[in-house]
Amino acid sequence: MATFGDFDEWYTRTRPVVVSAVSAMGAPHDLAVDAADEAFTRAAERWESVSVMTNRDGWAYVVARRVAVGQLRRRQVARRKFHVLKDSSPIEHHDPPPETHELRKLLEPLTEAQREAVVLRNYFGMTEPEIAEAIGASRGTVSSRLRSAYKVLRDATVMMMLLAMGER
Amino acid sequence: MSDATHDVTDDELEAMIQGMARRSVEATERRLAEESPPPGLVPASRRVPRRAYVYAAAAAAAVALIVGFAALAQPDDAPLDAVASPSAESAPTTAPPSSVASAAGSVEAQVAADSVFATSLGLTIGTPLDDPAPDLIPVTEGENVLGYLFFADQSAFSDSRAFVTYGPDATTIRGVWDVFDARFTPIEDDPELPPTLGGGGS
Repeated sequence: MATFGDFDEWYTRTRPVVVSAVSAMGAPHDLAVDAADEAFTRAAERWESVSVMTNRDGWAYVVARRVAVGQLRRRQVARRKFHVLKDSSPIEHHDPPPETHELRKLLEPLTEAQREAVVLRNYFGMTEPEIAEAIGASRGTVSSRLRSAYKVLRDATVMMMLLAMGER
Repeated sequence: MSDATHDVTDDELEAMIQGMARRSVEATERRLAEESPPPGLVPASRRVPRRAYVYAAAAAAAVALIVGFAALAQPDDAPLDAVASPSAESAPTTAPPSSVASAAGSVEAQVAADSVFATSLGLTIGTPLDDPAPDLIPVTEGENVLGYLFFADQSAFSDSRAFVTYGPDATTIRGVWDVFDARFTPIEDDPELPPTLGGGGS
């Protein structure tokens, strides 16, 4: 039977990973933290069912990401509605740690779908079937997204290496 | 260039990204620890550990259910079975028990009552009523915003939707206000809502 001790262990271990992953997808740090906490709150509310999920890390990430997207939209709407906020916005957009920012820059050339597959694979160590289950896509789609993402990243990495060699 | 290209394999690339991801998580852990200082670094009265927030939210949800069910147990003209059953045809026209909560004058009781109402429809409230977003919804006098709702199975998960209800004497849900598109859809015209909730979907 699921206990809150299990939740505590899972929460402690997974929260920084979810925050980093959502942030790597482009969310401001403060928003990523809030979204992750919202996801874990929902998990706590439904711990009986969440605790038996085979891929609860993926569930937490997907919920946090959706919450973050929703919050970003609402911030945009708020800005549109209250034009004065454009120039002197009280909304703070905290930068992520430099390490997360570095990874975010690396993933910038990818499409959002490719980036998500790469993030789930490398932050959570998920297999292709696990990624497919988490985001509700087919395994073939995930495989294709990862392959094309790595091709883009490989080309970008080679370009960076060549540029670095040229500067020497 | 082709020689250099061959130097980077998918495995090497993945190892590099995994290393960056690991450093990113470690840095985030440090940042989170700074944002929630350990006991002793700040006065106890100002300390709000994140974990306590999660537990408090879980406890609040449990209390909300208890309070809400107590509210439903009050004598009321509304048929109780319609509130309790998500599949009941009359469910969409059943008023949320906001009137009970409003009479109590308590925001907490209002949230609790609305939570029970949402649960009875197979929905969950995703955003508290004191969230600033409802300020963006043009609600006329006497109406209430029930809150941002999500289908319990997350099949129609959306953060940009809010259900608008009538006020204390309400008998129906009026429709859905989409915050993102700033558009109101009468509930009977909403294709995403199943007919059991009064919508036009299947």
